[in-house]
Amino acid sequence: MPESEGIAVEQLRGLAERAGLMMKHDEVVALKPMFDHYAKQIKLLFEIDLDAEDMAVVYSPNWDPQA
Amino acid sequence: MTQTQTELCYLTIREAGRLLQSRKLSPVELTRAFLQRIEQLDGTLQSYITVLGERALSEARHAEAEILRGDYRGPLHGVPIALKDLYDTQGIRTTASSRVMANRVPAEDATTTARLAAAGSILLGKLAMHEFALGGPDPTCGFPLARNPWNLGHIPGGSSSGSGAAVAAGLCMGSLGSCTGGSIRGPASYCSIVGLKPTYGRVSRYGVVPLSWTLDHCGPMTWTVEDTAIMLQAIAGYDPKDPTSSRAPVPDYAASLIEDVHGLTVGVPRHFFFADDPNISPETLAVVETALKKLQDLGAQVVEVKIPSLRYAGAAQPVIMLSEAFTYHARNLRSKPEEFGDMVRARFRTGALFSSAEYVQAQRVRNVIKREFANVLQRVDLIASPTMSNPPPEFKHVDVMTTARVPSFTGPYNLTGMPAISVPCGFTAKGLPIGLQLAGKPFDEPTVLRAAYTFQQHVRLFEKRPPV
Repeated sequence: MPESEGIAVEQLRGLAERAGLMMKHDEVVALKPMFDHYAKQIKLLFEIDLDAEDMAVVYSPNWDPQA
Repeated sequence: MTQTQTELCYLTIREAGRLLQSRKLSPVELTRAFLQRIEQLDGTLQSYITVLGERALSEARHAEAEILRGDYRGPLHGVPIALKDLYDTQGIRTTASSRVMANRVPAEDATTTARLAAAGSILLGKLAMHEFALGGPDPTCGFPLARNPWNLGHIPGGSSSGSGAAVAAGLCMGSLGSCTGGSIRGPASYCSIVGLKPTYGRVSRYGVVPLSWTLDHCGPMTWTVEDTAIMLQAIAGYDPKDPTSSRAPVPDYAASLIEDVHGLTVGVPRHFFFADDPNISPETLAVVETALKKLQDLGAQVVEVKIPSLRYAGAAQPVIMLSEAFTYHARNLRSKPEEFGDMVRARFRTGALFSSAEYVQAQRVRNVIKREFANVLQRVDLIASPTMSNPPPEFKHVDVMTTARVPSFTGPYNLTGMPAISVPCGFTAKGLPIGLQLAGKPFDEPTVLRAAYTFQQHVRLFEKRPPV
């Protein structure tokens, strides 16, 4: 993805600051390709219609494939 | 290096165990051979962070005395092993290969560390790994980077890099790795050894530096499937200290090592693992196709299956992993970011930038993936694929984006929690290892082990050691 595409560097800096990360300008610039890569992937996650699918953050080890 | 020393260090756990039990081999002699080999080879391989020379010999003398007086504990008694350096070891520095934990000395053993000690194994030392079990071979992390014994210019995989290299090179008889997206099976594939990620909840994670609580697994890495079964037997089982630990009974894994796959159905989701994708190595696919044919020739029924939601696994897994990883490391990332290596710092920081809605959505998609696998597992016993989409790359071709770019064939099973093993299945034309991945039903490690054992006994790649 070209530099001009994806998230703007200033916007990325804003996200980082909100998370409490104080980053130098060159660190934010270096992080942009990775953020853009994942952002593209995350779009996929919202393509799927999950309706009222529940969320299980704590994953139970005891699941039964026959159930 | 003497021939005797090499012969001792290339014994399997099962072979050594028999000699130790019958008192034809002394644990002290065996441990000394490994310590000498580490001294001679590990300057190049860099698989160890800490070598416990005197302590290991003291444990070996203790084991010898026990065996001589008839107090034999089982197939790991007197067997020299090593642990990835994120397993807590009481009184022994445990660094997770990070300057953040460079001087950390745990006051208590991890449950798995304690169980291996109770089984009588000898701890040779703590093994190199990718910093905090993520990132890659990062020269800025401040710790040694393990090299692949099959070709020193190539990575041994990660994050259990030292475990893969040390087992393959005969610098320990077995190891424990940890796995959040493929960190046991990946190095096993890259180093031509066996690595098992057991079912989520099967092996305690207590006392293991976490990366991502809902994805982390602990499991054995060994030269043979039989040795993996032996190590799994020692570490599996309920642990009240791990809230995700299962109370499911632990079967006799050695009993599952039947050299027969007749009656087993193996599903292959070709649409995902064998896709026409330029990021997947055709050479890897060709070798694994041959392996599938072998399984069929041995009596298994190989059928094609479809798991459409697999296409979302590569998006869901990193969102969950990095969000949870950031949560664990947030305080240090904010207060002393300079202590993290460049690769892991960048990836952990990315975890801070996902929204809560993205994390929740990833968990919901995970449920869908889990359900689709459960449906398929009503028709098949195992699901097969290449372990890795490509052979091990050269160090010079690895950067912070490398793992993000190539499809992960291991990550889906961290999402579902299913047991999955990597067993060596061949080599590239350049002599780089390729692994076959077999995944099974939850808590059905016996079937996974049985199929991998049968395959290994017939292909016999364990007869070929790396040129170190």
